[in-house]
Amino acid sequence: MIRIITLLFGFMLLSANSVAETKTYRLTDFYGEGIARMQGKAASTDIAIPLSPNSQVVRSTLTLNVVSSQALIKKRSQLFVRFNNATIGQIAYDPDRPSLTSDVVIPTELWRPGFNQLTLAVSQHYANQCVDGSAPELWSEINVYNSTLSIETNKAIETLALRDLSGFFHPGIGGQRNVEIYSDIDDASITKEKTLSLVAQALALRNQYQPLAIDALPLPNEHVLPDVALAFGASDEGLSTFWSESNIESYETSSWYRDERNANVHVLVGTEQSLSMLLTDDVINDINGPFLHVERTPAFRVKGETLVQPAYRLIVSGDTPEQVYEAARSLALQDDALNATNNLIVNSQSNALADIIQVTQVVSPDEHYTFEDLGFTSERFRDEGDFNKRMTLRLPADFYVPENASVKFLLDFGYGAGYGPGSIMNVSVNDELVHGLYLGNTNGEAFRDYELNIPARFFRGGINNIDFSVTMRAPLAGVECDDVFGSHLIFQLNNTSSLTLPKAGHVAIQPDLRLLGETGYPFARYASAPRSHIVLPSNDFLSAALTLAGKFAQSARAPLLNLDVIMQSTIPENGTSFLLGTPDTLSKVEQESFASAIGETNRWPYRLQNTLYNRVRNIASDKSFKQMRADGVTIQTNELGPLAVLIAEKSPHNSKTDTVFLMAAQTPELLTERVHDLVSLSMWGQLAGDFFVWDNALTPSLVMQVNDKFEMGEANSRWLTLRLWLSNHPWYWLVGFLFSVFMLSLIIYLLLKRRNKEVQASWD
Amino acid sequence: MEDKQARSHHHSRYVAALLLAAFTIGALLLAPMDASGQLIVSFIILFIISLCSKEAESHQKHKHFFRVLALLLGVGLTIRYLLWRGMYTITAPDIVSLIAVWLLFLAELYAGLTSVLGCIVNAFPLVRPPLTLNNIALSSLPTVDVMVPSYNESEEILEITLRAAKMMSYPADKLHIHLLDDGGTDQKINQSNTASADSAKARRASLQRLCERLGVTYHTRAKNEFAKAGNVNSAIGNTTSDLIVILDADHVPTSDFLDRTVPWMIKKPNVFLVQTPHFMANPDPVERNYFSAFTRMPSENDMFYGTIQKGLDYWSSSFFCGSAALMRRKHLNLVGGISGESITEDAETALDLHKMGYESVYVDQPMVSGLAPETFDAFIQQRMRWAQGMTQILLLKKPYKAEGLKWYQRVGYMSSIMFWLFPFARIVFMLMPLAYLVFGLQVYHASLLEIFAFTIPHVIATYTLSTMLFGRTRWPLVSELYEILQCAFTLNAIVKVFLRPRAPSFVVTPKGESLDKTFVSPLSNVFYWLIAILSFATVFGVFKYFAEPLTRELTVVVLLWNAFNLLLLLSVMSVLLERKQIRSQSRLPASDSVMLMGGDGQLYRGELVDLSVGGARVMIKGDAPTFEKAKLSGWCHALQKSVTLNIDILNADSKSNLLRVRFMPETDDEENDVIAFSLCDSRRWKSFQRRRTRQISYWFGVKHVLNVGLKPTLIHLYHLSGRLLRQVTKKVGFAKEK
Repeated sequence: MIRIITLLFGFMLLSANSVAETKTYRLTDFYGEGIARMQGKAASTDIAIPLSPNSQVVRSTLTLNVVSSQALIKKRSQLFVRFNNATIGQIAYDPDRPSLTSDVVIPTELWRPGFNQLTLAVSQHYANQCVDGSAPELWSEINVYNSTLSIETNKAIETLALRDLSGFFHPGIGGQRNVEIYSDIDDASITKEKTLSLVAQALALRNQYQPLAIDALPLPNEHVLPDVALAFGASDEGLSTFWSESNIESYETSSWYRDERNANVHVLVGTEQSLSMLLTDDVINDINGPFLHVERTPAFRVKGETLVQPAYRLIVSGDTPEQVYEAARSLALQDDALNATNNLIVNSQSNALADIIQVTQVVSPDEHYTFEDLGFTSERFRDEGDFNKRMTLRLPADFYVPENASVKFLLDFGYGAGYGPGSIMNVSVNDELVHGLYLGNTNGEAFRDYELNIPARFFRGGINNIDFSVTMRAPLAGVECDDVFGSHLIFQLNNTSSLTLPKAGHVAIQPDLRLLGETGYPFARYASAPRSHIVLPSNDFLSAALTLAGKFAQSARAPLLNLDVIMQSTIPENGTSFLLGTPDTLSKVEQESFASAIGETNRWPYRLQNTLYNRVRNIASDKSFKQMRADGVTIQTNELGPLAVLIAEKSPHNSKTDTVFLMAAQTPELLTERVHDLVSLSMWGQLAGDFFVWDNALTPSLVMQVNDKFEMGEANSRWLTLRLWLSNHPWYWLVGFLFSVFMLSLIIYLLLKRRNKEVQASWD
Repeated sequence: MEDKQARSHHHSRYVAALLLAAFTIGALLLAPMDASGQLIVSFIILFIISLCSKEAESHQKHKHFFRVLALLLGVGLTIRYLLWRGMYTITAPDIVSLIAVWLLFLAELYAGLTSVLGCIVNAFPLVRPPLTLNNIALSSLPTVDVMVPSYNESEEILEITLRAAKMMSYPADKLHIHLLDDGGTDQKINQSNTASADSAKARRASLQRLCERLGVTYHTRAKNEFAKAGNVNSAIGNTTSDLIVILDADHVPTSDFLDRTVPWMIKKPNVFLVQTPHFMANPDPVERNYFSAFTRMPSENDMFYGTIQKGLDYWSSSFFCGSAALMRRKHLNLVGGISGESITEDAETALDLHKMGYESVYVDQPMVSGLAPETFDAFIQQRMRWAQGMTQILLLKKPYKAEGLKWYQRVGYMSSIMFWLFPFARIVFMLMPLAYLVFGLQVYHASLLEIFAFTIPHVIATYTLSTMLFGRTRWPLVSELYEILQCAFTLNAIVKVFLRPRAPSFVVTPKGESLDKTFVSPLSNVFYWLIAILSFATVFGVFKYFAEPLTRELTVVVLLWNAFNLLLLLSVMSVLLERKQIRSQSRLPASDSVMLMGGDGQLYRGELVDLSVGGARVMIKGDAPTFEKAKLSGWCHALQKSVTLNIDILNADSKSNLLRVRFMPETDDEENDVIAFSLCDSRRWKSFQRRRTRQISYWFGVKHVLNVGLKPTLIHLYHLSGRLLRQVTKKVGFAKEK
């Protein structure tokens, strides 16, 4: 009996602790392309599937949609499914059934926190012997878009601590994609202007690239006990005595203020005083300065019915609004792994300024880095096949170099003996091939400081991908049907390799939504961190603003301490601004100088009224000198309907050149919805141009380049400032030069004539 | 006094403004700009240069202003290019590349520097009025010694020169002609080689007889020391006239030579030199073998004497060219006669006297006709001497810091000297594409856009300025051809001077050689090698284009560069094909009216078509005569009288009425008349010079060069294959015999 009671109790605990969650993902959520094509006798592809460390997999099934060539013979042609190197399934190809869908169960014990590797490998043959590995009929395709992963997970947290935040907010399966932040949003203190944005950024940064929708909610004004009569039903026995001291206390310790019925983390932000109604005495007593705390609030049940779900909550607090800000900043900067307790008090922070933080995650111009410095591990490729190692280099968004600058690579690599024809190494930068090397020495070679000077124009501000693609082929046997196995082939790229960046200024061509999407520029810069704003007309837009703030931080990969959220209806005098609004609220914004405008009447630069054939050009490398501004516009009165419009323009009245972004939807609710669409993985990656319209989370309706381009930033030195200025205004140089040469010519001409006269006079 | 002060004040203000404007331009040229911006401004500047150079070539009042404006704009683009090259592109991944990069940059710096110096020198060519002795009292005229130094020239050549010298319009009692024979010195006569000694003795005796016959003083000396300079100095010690004319053995003066030059000496006692142009009566090997356009195209001399010397004259730095010059004995004595430290004694002497503050004058009227070297071998020998001599002056005399010279005289001398260092740059420009195409060295660290923004405008500007300055006297690409022809040989010669500055010795340029058959120059091998190397580089470049798609932009640029070099090299093949030359004297166009009188006393009116000291072609008005001997009468401007010359009619074309005649002088006076009629009329040289100094478009010049260059390449291939075939046949035959 005791055993049964113990089991029941354990089950109750487990059910209370972990709410199982089942989700189905398309494999394209983890893999870049829609189709994985397998060509040749043997081929494989890897798919990385991240899993939150706070999640425990209960059940998972992989459904693969495969099409194979009808030329493949049975038994010798099959698809192997491996998960973290363990084979979990073998799917035989059948020429009579070239299209198939197969379910493969992934054993739960194979899952591990972090990244899991799903390997899809094929063995393909059209005959039992003498198969030509390059025969075109040796193929199969895995439809990655139609293939799915169904997974059921539980929260698996033993002792809740601040370090678990990285599990809650994680890009993998089980990570949160939305969060509620409760604060006193009517209070015009620093909390609303700076702290909320910082908290949103801190959480979004933990999600890395996955979007995080923020729901900004007010703190409850008053404490009202719920009506529990319904739970008691017809029998009201005990109803009158239900709200005893202990039940009231139990209710007050729950997350009674939430409407959501899930166990997700939510956040309380505010001073000790403003949160006192929601916190327990113990917690309140602990707040003696900038304070971070995580806790799990219990469920509140009435007659077995759960009235308030248990929930995790993060408390960002302090005695004063400034201390709350300090706590939020600590939250944004901290490495969760170091905080194994559930609360902390921040005593002081150094090097926590905006301009310092925003450069820590980017490489600095005019510096030398080994690949190891950049987190690149030495890579070794074995066996025959095609291999790729990608190194991601994050340059300042406003990376500005002269035309002839170059990035110098000193590569340490080598390949072993016995390479066959077709073995090569290609190096590409941002998908542009910049170097190729034939691996043709039969005795192998080892290179140290193999120098590559790659023009810096191949690199751009933001993320740069450097790919080392190696194709390794076994030597030809010279005998028919007698292939040489490639198991002896080896290639090694060492992380002792290095690169040296050229000197650079910090200038970017604006407006450019692509740059905003990739790097967060101009909110995140390199040389300085001027104050920037997300501007809202009312609290109705706060959720959208905080969601965007989080996304900007994700793009910049660092918290933007200079980003404020302010309430006003006009463009701020200084700094970069992102204005949110509806046509009604944006009517008050000065838009006279803009090529397009949103308001009670909209000004649209229709394509047929302008020569916008190219729609979006890469304005940073555009050398056509064509005027980009759209002159032909239609002014019309209509509502935006389901659309959201994002426009980037040169700020009309800033004393320093800067960019202003305007985003509008018909209502605040619609705008919040469209912001959620915008920050989605698919849509954020498509940001481009300076005129962006969308009404869903998949594809934009229209992307255009309609405004004058301009250069913005700090050249970092007087020389570069001059270069920048002259490059922007070559006419000034020309006029100055021509005038000076004209004057000099005149003087020289007069002096020459004078001498000529003197010489002639000497003849008389 | 006040006027002088005011002028000095004005001058200071001008100089201050000039320095300010120059400083501003310097700052602007240093100012950095992206290639896209530079591209726009460069091409706008090129457009303005083009407009200005057109205005500069017109006859409008302010043409010199436009000339200066165009020069400054062009020089501005060149300096900007060089600054950009130096500041942004001199990087290399390894030491070998770095060496190549610096070699190329140094060659470009050299080319830029010579271009800038050339622009300064030629900014304002001086035009002097023609002066004569007509209004000067005969008694006040200075005495003149005409010296004709000789080493191994034939008696025939010398006789013509001496007779012409004797006929110069000048009071006979004040004119003394001297033959300075260095081929019959005591040293030569007493040398151990008896055959040579006998030959020297015979030469001395023969020339002594010639001098006696012509009334010329014969000079020789004990030893052949200091070559030509020593020979002249020896004669200076034995003569006493106020002025000295130096004429090379083949330099025939016109009758008005002294009439045009002596007045400058009388007018300004400070003048130590009056130099006149060397007019070449025959084509040099390039003109003859390559263009066959001696009478239609400006010669190499025309550029120097028609443009550069006038520019130097403006800057008081025109220099002595070894012959066709009048010098003042008093000044020569101050420097111990003709200087002999270098093997270009002429320029060296002028430098020494310029340093002492004396002046030179350049009279731009051809009054001496000479002979250019006939063979490529002789041509190269002459140029090597010039290159070595000028390099010696650079190293030994250091004109860039010579005391006594004004800054502009230093610029003038450096411009003339620096030119002779061209082999270094030319070789670098020719071989550097190989460094990239074959060896993969990154010699030019720039993007295609930058090449368009900086390099191309600089090249276009340089060519535009060159056309503006020398368009009439030098056709496009001709300079490149001359430089390529000489560079391989003169580089070697210059390097030797740098290693041992005092080592080179004077070598007399062979002249008056006759070519009785067409043959390939023995100096051709180096060009075959160069063509083979550049062809290999081209093939490699094409392979590189396909094999390395990443660097295609640069490969195309370098391939074009290499192809340009290769085309020029193929073109010079033509020069190396020494063409047969039947006539011993080159005939020049003439248009004098003449009368022909046959043995029957019948007169024929006609007009000269061309003329040489040996004969002429005459276009007869009416039917052509049928007799073989006749007399030709015409007005001799040199003698200011009508002359009648005995002639043989070699050929008469009844269709065109064209007679080919040979002069058959029967008396000594008639000999003089023939020379006076054919060689002593300066108007004839001037008109001939005018006829061929004309401007052509750049593209016409390029087309011309390519047109005449390709056919000889095929002939070379034919000769080369013939040679190979003969060798193979010989070997096979030899083997069979064995």
